[in-house]
Amino acid sequence: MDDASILDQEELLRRLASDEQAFVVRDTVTGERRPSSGAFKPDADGVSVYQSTLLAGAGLSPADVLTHPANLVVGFLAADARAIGLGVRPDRWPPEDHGHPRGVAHALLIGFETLGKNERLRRQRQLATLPSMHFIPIG
Amino acid sequence: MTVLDRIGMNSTATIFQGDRVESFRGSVASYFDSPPTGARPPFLVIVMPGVLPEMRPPLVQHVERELNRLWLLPLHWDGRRAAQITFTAAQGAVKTLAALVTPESPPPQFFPLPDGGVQVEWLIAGNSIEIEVEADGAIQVLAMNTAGDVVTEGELGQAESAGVMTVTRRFLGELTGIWRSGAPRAV
Repeated sequence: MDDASILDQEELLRRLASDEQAFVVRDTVTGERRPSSGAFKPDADGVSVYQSTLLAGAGLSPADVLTHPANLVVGFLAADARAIGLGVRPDRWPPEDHGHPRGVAHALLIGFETLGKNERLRRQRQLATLPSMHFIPIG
Repeated sequence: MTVLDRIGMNSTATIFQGDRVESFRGSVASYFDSPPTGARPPFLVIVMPGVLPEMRPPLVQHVERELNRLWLLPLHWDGRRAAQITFTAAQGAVKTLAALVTPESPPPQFFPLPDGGVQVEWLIAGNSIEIEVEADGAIQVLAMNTAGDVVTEGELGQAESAGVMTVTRRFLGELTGIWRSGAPRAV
């Protein structure tokens, strides 16, 4: 269930994890880059994100979201995710973060559970092309 | 003449799991019809009977190279719970591409999926084709034009999915034309 305590203007950070090619799809004509929709395929509980205000509050930066130097980070507004029918809820200290301080800012994008495959894929595509979607410069 | 014939792949072109390649004129690929249980073979090879590995079309070599890149990703490659890509997913990607592409087609981009699947994607002048092959081999397509309209979508491999495949193939043909001209235009 969407948690309204996460404000619309909250910037959500998503780690694009993979090898050196990360999850960036490049337009082979225009050269533009954007995240692949595959980067937003949900796990059983949703799509893992971090709240930038809570990261900052813990003295952390987007670089602290990385688990590998080749990872990239994208940011987008909670409002944009809500505008396409998704919700956001806190999911603090996930076990996969192994106690890393970034766990204090962990949240989940939710709302995929009831979607059929066509709708889920469309929603992932919408996420990848949100108006506020942008790459976060690291270091 | 079928698409498979035109790309130089015939219907017996197959992807295998292998443990050894000796590349040299007259290359030998060592691969398994039935891989040994317990061990994950170190690479995948797309075999085209009667065609030396280095003589295969560049697109086939690209697909093999990209699938191997994903194949080598370790467990939990996403820093969370991601599975390694499955051989079934790699097989599904190869079969789908063999039915879609021509020698002129632009090379697609490949991404791993956290459930062990593979995503194959073209993004050409704002038009996109996304093919999601899940770990169990289920295949879903979403094709959208530059205006954001859905050109076609649905599951492949089902009796009713012939239309999705036909439209996807035609759309890829249109995108191939755009790619080769290098100039964005509406589709």
